[in-house]
Amino acid sequence: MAYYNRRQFISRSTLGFAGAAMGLSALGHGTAQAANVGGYKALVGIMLKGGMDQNDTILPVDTPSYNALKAMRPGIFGAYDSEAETSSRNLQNILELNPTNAAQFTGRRFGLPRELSNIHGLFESGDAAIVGNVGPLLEPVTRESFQAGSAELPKRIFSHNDQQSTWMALGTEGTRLGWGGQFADAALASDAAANPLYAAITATTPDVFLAGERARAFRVPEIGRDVSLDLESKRYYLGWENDRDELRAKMSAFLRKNDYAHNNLFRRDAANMAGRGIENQIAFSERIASAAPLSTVFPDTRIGRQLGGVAQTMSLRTNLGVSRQVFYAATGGYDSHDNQARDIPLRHTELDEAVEAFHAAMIELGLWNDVILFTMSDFGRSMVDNGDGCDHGWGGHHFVMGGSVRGQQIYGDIPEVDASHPQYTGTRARLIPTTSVEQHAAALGRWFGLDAGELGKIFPNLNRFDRTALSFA
Amino acid sequence: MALNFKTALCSLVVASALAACGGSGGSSSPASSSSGGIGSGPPPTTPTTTEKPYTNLDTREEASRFLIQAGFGGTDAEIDALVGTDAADWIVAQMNLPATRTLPLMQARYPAREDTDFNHSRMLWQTLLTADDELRQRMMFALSQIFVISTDSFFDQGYGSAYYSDILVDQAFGNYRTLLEDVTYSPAMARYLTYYRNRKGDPETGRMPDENYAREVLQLFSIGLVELEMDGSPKPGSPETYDNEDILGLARVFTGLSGHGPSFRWSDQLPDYRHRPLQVFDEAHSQLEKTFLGTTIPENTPGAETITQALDTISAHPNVAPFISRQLIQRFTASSPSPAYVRRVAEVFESGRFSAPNGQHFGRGQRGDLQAVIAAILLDPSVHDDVQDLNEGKLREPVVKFIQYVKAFNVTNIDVWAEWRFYNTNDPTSKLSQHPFLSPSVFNFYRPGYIAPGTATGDAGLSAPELQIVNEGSALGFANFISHYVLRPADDPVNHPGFQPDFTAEIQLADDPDALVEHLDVKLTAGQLSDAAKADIIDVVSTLIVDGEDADVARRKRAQTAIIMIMASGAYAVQN
Repeated sequence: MAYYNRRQFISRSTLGFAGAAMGLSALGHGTAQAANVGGYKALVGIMLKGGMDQNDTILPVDTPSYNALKAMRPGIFGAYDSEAETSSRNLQNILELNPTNAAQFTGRRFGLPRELSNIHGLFESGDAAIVGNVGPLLEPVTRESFQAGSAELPKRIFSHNDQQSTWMALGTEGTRLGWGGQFADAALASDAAANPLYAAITATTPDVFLAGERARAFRVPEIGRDVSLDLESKRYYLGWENDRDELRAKMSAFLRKNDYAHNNLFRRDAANMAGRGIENQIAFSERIASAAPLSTVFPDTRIGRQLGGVAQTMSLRTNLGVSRQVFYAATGGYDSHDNQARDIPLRHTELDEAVEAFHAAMIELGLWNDVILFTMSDFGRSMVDNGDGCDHGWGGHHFVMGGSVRGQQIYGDIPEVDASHPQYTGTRARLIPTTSVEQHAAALGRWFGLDAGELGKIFPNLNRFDRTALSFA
Repeated sequence: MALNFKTALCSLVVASALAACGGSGGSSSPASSSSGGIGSGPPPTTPTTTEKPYTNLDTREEASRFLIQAGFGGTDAEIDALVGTDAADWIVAQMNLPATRTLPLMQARYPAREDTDFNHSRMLWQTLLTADDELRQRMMFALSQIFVISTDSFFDQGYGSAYYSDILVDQAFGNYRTLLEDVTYSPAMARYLTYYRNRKGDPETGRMPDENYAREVLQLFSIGLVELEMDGSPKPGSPETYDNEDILGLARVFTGLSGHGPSFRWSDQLPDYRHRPLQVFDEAHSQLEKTFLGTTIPENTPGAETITQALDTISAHPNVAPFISRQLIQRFTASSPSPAYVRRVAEVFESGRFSAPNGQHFGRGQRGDLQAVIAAILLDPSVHDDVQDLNEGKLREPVVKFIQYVKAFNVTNIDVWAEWRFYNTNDPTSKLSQHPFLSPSVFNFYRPGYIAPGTATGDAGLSAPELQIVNEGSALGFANFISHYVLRPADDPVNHPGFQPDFTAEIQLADDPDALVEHLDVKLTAGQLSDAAKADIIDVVSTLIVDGEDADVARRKRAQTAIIMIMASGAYAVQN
């Protein structure tokens, strides 16, 4: 099999995207010194925790590649019973993708498992794209430089928590600023009227992605969750006697304030968080209660309820006083060391149904062209299996979705299914990324309105990579 | 009073030996070193004055503080009983208590079938809320946050997770190396980290061994990712402890393990395999050479011998002492322990012995002795000095907060099966943001190195793991959860018969709000509420009019109001 070396690959892909890349100048490569905050735009990052297996998500559908993958993963394909007519991994049942840049792959074709049928539909209709083989990089790396130890590598590749952090904050666990939070910071810096409280929104844990200098993750409830301070809202808690209204008011004020001076730094943080949290959660919940509910029904899954909370928050955008928002949702269960054939289709289905509901909600709100939904994950996984699962890898493939995405394309690269291909590590066929997280995130940042200077500050290694290679939005 | 040097009376090796020492513990039942006797340990501090050692608990505040740090806080009577005694003696007494294990409890409650992990996670809650061996249970909970399994990952193995938590109970004051081996051979861990029935590689199909346990046993259970100084800080340049080649080598080690039985065949597993150690089957164990951490285990070494050598190699790594010590400190006394504190404890981990200032000896002199380690953590000078340091203290974990409430007010009629809230207390919006053995992943509820964005601790570079779950997103849930249990069972025992608190002492003080708040402040925060917060709580409590036929209700309400406000305060959020 013939391989392109990196130089050839870049020139090919750049040519392939030339038309799209021309559009970039309008999106922030100009001389503007500050983020463009006109209109409304939102980025929604979905962290798929555990390391999503790209090999079982973007499936090869040309027969030689399909057979090659099956041969490398006999345990996994066996567990899927892939030769059965009804198996989701039977070649006949894989939903083929028809990218407009199919020619780039010289006969290799790709598909999605049927559990991702809605995302498949978004791709085919031009509202979703795939970014292939993206992962943390400090500079371009090949197997040669990887094995020789000559490449400068991100720290602690293959470690879950550190690579989650590296995806979201460009550094191992303990890194303090995430690029989502820094995007929100840039938007806030250009919009004095914006309410910083609602610039960065998490529907789950306060992971580092949304940590900015000014922006902090504000946690919104999952859709359908009504939150209130029971001491206030449940009148029987404190009673109906004459003195109880005053008691209620004073207790409520105490709990919402919690601003006593503390020398101890842990106490200071805990008190601030408690007071702020209670005050802001209630205020936000009251805003939701006063707004028109979404008619879109979200699936009752972890990711479904979270994306519902995100959509609900977007429906309040005017009320919240923000024109740029970065959102974060996360779901686990992707660490498929075993039982892959049982677990991954369930995870895919949950993701797909949640994305479809979110899509519907955005149509309902008239915001589909103003949002980009994108996936992240700790890492991709090894192509060689371990019996009924696979192990930690590095590069993976990801989705970007939204009305303004230049969809139906595969950006970056999806290397051949061949362990001897130089874009895999020497053992277990783990992908060495060809597109860096910084490139990927910078493309999202450009769309969000950040200018080149702002992006350069957030992404220090950007100039080591082809800056025009990704033009999905 | 002169320091009290005791002679060795019995061996304190493992839990059973401790229990076998007999006696009620306390100051008359000294801990000791084993075989070599007292002379083989490091010499105790020479007494130079007649002052009591710093570990003496002179006041109610000090007694309360120590019970909060070492156990789950105290009742008024427990606090009173501790005043004037030495903290080391309390530790010895706790170590002498019989261990509460959950497997027998599970077997008694669910005799017909194994039932679910979820029921075991409820059994853990029940045990934590009711068991007398508080130090051991707290250690079990601490170890469960290092050697993490999460019981939402397998659905039919209640006995298996019980067997697992009992390993942590049994080794709470045992030895790290033994603990690592017991964990490695436990069916629950093997299921959780997917090396259960993990087969050797197959050159024909290209199949390779599962790498999961190889990776996490190094990253999380033993040495971590970067080489450490003894004080827990990274060595210059943060050299990594292993690379992917080490993982490939070590992955071969953890092959061939399955439930015990006559063969590796699935169907040959004996019915009780989930609560017995795994067995190594050489036919499924990789016979290849295994190279990792600078060690090579030759090809064709039998599986059991291979695992022994591998665990010896891992345990012998110099990172283990600071890596494990720092995390245990974080679970008991300091969210961001000082390097000097970590070093003191790590040195005890290395020597396996600790001598308390009052002459009590802990540990039997083997590296990794957890009895010595926990004593060193709880008796460290930094834990007993004045409460001033900006950076000291530990953010309390929500589970521990709730247990303290239950213990402090002698809560009775505890049956977590009757409480829907205890089905899963992880929900941050309405519950505690934490449930024993139910973290989202092997990375626990929070990371030991977590630094919270946009905070004072973060600006100071302090790790604050608990802020990953105790934060803006969970404050309301905690307030609501605690309000329910402080208010509803006492207010409406007919509809809320479970979790009945005893507020007698508080109700007696309720006519004097100053005295009430003072009393609760000592019991709940060891007297660390600020004057301003106390004044506000007194003001709020005083709005309740104690008068007429409802006076008793109002008195109770005063007590409940003060308890809720203190438990929601910044002072309470941190034990220091």
